[in-house]
Formats: sequence, structure tokens, C-alpha cells
Amino acid sequence: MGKPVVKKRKKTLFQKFEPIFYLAPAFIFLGIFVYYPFAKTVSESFFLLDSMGKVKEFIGLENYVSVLHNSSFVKAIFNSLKFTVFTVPFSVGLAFCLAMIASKKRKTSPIYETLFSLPMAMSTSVSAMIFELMFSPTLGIINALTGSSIKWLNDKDTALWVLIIIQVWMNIGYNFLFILSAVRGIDADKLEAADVEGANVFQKATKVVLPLVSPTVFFLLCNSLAKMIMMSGLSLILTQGGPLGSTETMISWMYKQASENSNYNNAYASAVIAFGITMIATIITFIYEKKGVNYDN
Amino acid sequence: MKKIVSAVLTAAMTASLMAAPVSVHADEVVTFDVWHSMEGSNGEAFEAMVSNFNDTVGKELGIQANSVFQGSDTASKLKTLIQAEDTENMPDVCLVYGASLPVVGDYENTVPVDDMYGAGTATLAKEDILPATVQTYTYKGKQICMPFNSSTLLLYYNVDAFNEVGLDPENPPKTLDEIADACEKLTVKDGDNVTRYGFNAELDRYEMVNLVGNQGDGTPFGDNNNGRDGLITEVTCRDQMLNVFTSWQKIAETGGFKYNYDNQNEEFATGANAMTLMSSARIASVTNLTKDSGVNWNVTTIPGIDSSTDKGGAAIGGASLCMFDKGDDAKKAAAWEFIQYAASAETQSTWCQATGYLPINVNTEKLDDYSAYIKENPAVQTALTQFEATKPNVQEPVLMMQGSVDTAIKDAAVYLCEGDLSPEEATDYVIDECNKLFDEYNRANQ
Repeated sequence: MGKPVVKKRKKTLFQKFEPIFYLAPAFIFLGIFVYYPFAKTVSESFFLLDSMGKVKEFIGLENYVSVLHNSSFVKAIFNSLKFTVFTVPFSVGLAFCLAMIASKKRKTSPIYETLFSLPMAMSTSVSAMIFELMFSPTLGIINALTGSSIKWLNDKDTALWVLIIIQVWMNIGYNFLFILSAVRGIDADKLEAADVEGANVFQKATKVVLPLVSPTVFFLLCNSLAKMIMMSGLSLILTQGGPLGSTETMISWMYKQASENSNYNNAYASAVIAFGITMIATIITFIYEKKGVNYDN
Repeated sequence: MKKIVSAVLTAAMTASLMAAPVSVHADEVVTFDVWHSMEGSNGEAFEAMVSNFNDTVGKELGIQANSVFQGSDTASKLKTLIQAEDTENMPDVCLVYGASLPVVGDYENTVPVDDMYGAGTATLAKEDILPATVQTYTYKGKQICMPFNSSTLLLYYNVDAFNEVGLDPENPPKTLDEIADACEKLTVKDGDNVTRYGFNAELDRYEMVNLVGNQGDGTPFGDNNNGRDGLITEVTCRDQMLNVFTSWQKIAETGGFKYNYDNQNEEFATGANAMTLMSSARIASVTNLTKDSGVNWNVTTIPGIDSSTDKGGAAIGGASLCMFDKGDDAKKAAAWEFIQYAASAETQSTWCQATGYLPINVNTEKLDDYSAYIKENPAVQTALTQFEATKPNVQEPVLMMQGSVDTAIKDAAVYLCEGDLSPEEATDYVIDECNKLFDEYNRANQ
């Protein structure tokens, strides 16, 4: 009599927990490598830590006050924001233009599709080294072709711009692939209708195509916004934050505090501040999503 | 039936996996790990040294070194293991740079080599090691690591360019002011464009430590015996630093001074810059590069402020071998044998000829093959003379915030060269920044 009941209960229990088993590997991974270190960083940023990262005493907000009074970190915040403000629109915008040009399928499509998306397959360090040689003031091709004597990465007024150019180039491939597939997915009738109404290329791109691919563009904006605010690779490889702190970003500053100066007090506080700024930027893009993104195509 | 077969197969496979390692453990050779960060031709020379050790001393004593290339972040990996108290994964011997001295010096499982002299085969005595290099790796009264690959800063100059403008290549500049004069003469301009710079140098932490240290009878950068008896609390070389910045400004005002590096080796080797400050470890690569360009060059000792009174000498750069106690006495003894081998006159001779580093064992020069090598490479002789004359007290300060000190000095020098700071202001800038960094660090680590 009791047997079937037990069996049934067992089954429902398993069914109840089944999704958790599938999710567990991902959650354990995220927990160990993301959530636990994040919680530890936030909580220990309120303590005085020695050069080995051992907690000494509770000091409240002192680490934050000291970091925000540090002129080199404040400069790094502005550099990160400037870098983001220029790289994100340019890399999405240029990728959109390329996708428009490449949208029609032709015999030669695979060739230029590959060419446009190639930067995606390049690692940061390899691209950085190639561009470093190109921008070299004495041996580089750019000064040789233009005949200029600009110091590029060695000049505080141009160094960040060089990093922006490299980053835009690196982002285009990835963005191009996403936008291209979205553009090709647009209903041909809608484009034909636009043609019949007499829309020119520019009108077609901004009034028809852009609204229709806006979910993809939104995803790319969110994705690159967070990545660009957190950028450190190019700066650490090419300029080490110099000259005169002009290419120091929040994360390169944080990295140097921890690894070169054994100063976990500054490192933890700056990490939390960088996270806060990135979160605010992401929230702003989500507000934009409600107004600008069109999901009913 | 299927189930039984698969169970038997699984059991058999598991058993075979477990059986394999047992047979390897049979002989009693003691193996130990050596971590290093040497790349390219230096990496090959390092591997060759390890395999020579294994074939000779190692074979006799039944010990085998296993060398592991850990890349440029060896120091961070070591520090991570120390932080995690993970002795099991520690190397037995590790190549560490001067900046890591306090990290290994304060670590409880580090075995100071000072305590090891006389142990084992006892083939190496402390007197065999050049005193200044011993001091470089001395912390809180004990020699922590064994110097291994050492180098020193030199002034490289283009002999052809000297002849061309009427400077005597046998009498290269001895002071920063003489460099300024020579720089002006050596500079070639085409309108406003400089086609040959007289002098190319960045004034970073290492250069500043050398130029300050060289003054008088040797000037330390900070207090507490340059950080070797305790944490540095303040910069103590204000006057000497001001001297350096004052002369540096004179060099900048010549208009033929390039104060940043693009391709330092290549530009010097092709004659684009007539003089430059570089480590002696670059002698080999400059020799190779000038074979193609045909440029004649030479090196001289680092410049002083007043050549008649400056007797300090240069701070020694490079890295050292450090050993750790992992709770296994056999491995500890083996590690010490390896370090003795690496620091021996014979090994240093082979190693230095292959890499261009300078021998830390004072007996190396007495060996025939090394003295023949010196005769063929006069630039190395100059480096060696400066290396051996250096005073122990001018060695690099022990700084845990080396990166930020470097940035402060570099930035001040750039501001000075661009005319934004006077020598006094540049000196104050560096001292303020450094003292702030010391306060911040010492507060958390006292």
C-alpha cells in the first residue's frame, strides 16, 4: 500500500531539484571565481591591509577617502570615461556602416566578411605590438608616410587617442558580425517598401534599418560599455599608464597598486569604485533601452 | 552480463592507472624544482646550465634539478603561494629580482643563504662572492639570496660621431655637465628637425639611484640603511637629487636631448642617437646590431656630478637565486648544492660569456677562458671595472612600492625637460611623492 506513495514522493523531490543540478556547475564556478572574491573585496575595502593582504584593523571609509584624494586615480577615472565615450560609439557606428555596405549577398561576400571580422581573432597583445611598431615615432610607418614627427604614444596629448584608435579597430570585427546578421535578418519587404517610397540610402539606414536592428545594437552597447570602462590591457602593454598618467585607467591603476606596490588598501577601494561607475553606466543604458529599443519587428 | 563485463573492465583500467606511478618511485634520486624567468638566448643558457649540473654534480650526488620557466610574472606567482601558505607547490629554488627581496626576506620558509655556507660539499665560501652583490641581496643583517645574473649601468657612445665633431673618443664625458657639452656638439639639425640626437636617456628610478648613489663616497636613497635594516621612512638624498636635476636641465636645454625611449638599442646602433645610458647586459645585442650598421662605439662608466669627488660607483642590477624549506631536508640540501654550482667561478664564466652578464664570483676572472673573453670584448672590461669598484652602500634601496617611485621620478624628469618644473620643484615633487608613498605603506606594515 505504502510503496507507490514513497515512489511518487521520491520522483517529485527529484523533479523539484532537477533544475538545480543543472545550474549547480555554473553557480559553483561563478560563486568561487566571481561572487566570493567580489564580496571579499567589498568587505575588506573597509579594513587596513598589509602587504600580504592580511587584515589589520577596521578603518571605515578611510581607504575610499584616500583613493579619491589621490590625483592620479581621479585622473584615471576621467581617462577611463573619455576612453569609453569615444570607443563605444565609434566601434558600433563604424561596424554598422560596414554591415550596411556588406549586407547584400554577393559571390565575393565571404572575402570581405572575413576581412571585416578579422580583428576579432587577434589577441590584445598581438594587436598592441603591431600598432606600437606602426606608431613608433622613428621607425613607424605612420610617421614615415605622413612625414610628421608626432611622438604618438610618448606624448601626453596623443597617447590616449592612439589607444582609442587601436581599441576601435579591435572591436569592429565582433560588432560587425552581430550587426551583419541582424541586418540580413530584416524582412526584404520592408526595405522594398522604403525603396518604393523613394528613400535614399541614408534615410534607409537611419529610419528603417537602425530601428529594426536596435536590439542587437543595444546588446553591443551594453557589452562594450562595461568592457571599455574596465579596460586595462592596452594601457598596461603599451604605455604603463604614461606619459604623465595620460593613459592610466581605473583598472590599470588598481592593478599597479596591488601588484607593484603591494597596496591592497588602494587596490580594493579603487576596484569597488570602478565597479560602481560601471554599474551606473549600465543602468543608464537600460533606461535608454526602454525608449530606444524596438522589439516588435 | 554486459554489466559484469563493464565492471571488470573499469576495475582493470583503474588498477592499471594506480600501478603506473609505483614503478617510477623505485630509485632514490632527489629531484627539486628551479623556477626562472630567463627568455630567448638567456633562457637557453639557463637550461644548459641546469642540464650541465644534472650531468655532473647532480649525477655524483644523486640529485636532479627540474627547471621550470615561469615567465615575467614569476614574482607574483611566488607571492601568491606565500600568501596562500601553499608550501607544497613552492619551488625549491627561485630566480628573484631585487624588488622581491622584502617579500622573500620576511617569509618564514625562506632559507637565507647566509645560513647555508659550509653545508654539504661546501665548495663555495662567502668570500668568493663580490661584496657589493652580497650587500644587494642582504636584508635585516643576513644575505637572503645568492646573486646570479648581475649587470651595471653604462654610458654608451658613438665613436664615429665623436671623431666627426672633434670630441676625443678616448676621453668620454665623466660628468653630467660634460654630457651636456658633448650633447650640444653631437646634435645634428635639419632646420627645426633633429636628425641626430646627442643624448638619449630616461631618468627613471634605476638611473636616479645610480646617479645619486655615485656622488661623494656613495649616497643612499633613503634611511634605515636604504631599507635593509627596516622600512624606509624618508628620502635622504635631497642635495644629491637636486644636483642630478640641475645638470639634467642643462642637458635638456641643449635641444639635442631625447628624453624618452622608442627603440633605444636600434637607435643607438644605427647612429640616430650619439650617446645613451643602458645596462651592461645590452653589450651583446648592441654588438650584434652594429655588425650590420658598421657603427663604431664604446662604453664608459656612469657620469658623476664632480668627477674628482664622486667615488660611490654604480648600483648593481639583475637577479638572484633564493631557496625555500619545504619540510624535506634532502631537497633543501640539494637546492644548496645547485646554488653553490650556479655561483661557482666555472659556471659563472660559462654563463656570463653566453649572456653578457657580469660574474659575481671574484675568482671567475682568474680563469683562462674568461680572461680571454674579456680581452676580445673591451666593453665588458669597462663594465667589470665599474662593477667591481662599486661601494656596497650605494646598492638599490629596498622599496616595496617600486612602481610608484619609478613613476614619480619619471614624471618629474619629463616635467623638467618640458620646462614645466625647475630643478628645485622637480626634487620637491619626487621627495613629496615618495614620502607620501612611504607613509602609506608603513602605516599598513609596521
